[in-house]
Amino acid sequence: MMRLSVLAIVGLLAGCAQSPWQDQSQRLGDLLAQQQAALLELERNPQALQEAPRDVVRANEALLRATQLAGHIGSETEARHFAYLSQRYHDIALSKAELAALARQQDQLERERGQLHVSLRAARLSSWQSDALDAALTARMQALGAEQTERGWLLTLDVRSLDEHGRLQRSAERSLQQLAKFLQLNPQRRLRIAGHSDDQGQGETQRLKANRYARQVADWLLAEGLDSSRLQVLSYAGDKPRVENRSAAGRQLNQRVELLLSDAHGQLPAR
Amino acid sequence: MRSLLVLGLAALLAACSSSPQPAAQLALSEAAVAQAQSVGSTAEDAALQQAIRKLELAHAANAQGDYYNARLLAEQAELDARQAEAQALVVKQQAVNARIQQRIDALRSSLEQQP
Repeated sequence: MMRLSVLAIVGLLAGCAQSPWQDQSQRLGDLLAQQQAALLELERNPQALQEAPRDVVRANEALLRATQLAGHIGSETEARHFAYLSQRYHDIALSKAELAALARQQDQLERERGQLHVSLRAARLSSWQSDALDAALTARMQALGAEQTERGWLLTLDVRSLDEHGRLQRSAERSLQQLAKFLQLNPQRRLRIAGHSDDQGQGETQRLKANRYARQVADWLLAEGLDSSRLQVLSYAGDKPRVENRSAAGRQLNQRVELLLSDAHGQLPAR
Repeated sequence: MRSLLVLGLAALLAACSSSPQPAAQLALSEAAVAQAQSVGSTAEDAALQQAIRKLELAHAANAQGDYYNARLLAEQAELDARQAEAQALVVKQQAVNARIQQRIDALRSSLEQQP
């Protein structure tokens, strides 16, 4: 009778803690030993200790609990449960440590990017500056009517020097001939050809006009034998006027084609 | 003797079914799953999958009055979700770093084209 009742009590206890969803493929002793080893490893990870001290502590507490429960009959489910929680706290601590390391890496990468940006600007600037200090280049550019700007040498053709068939006035033709010759002698250099219109008409009409001016000049240079890959053709509507579009004379000045010479390596500034 | 035994059994049974309803824990686990999803954890993430599955089981157990299993499942679901959240943040940060690295590579190659 006594033996029967003991059996019944044990059965009840076991029944009370039945959790069929729980993974019991691993022996409890092995599970605890494995978790113990993982925690020892975690405590040697200074980043985890720094970034997730609470999770490390909880992982330890949960494992301690699991170990205590493992010594009691009928508490295996509970023991496995705490071993699982310990493992999760361990994983969370590792992920937090990884996140912190990645955030530090981001700072470092941002700094590196900033430095490269500065270096690149300096390198580009120095190539403009060397153009500015180049006496022979200066003489040639001034001879064909270009002016020195902070973006490089710039030749501006008034739209009056273009007729509707794309023919050029004598003076403009002379400038472009010299420029084409210069480009043939300096195959690394490139040219940006930007058409600008005044503010008359719709945006699309303005852009078409500006594009027509630029294309006329580009076609002229192509006919001189320049390769199209060295020409960058852009058109701006009336959004970059030289002067106010108040008078007819002002509007006339704003309709123009700007030719910007690249640096010695073919680099053009940002648009 | 017999009555003592019955009393003992009754006490044990009472102890078994005396776990309180884990309403607070269930709410906490729900919140943890929502939090993981809000930082970008998706159902492809194994930890989030487990969290969602265990939370469903926990609700089912809770509905059947099995508060013991409801509590265990809900507690595990909470930590599964917290791990999913931590991992989602790691993945996000990795993507950010990769983008910056790409820009660095582009700047480097521009610099190499300079004298």
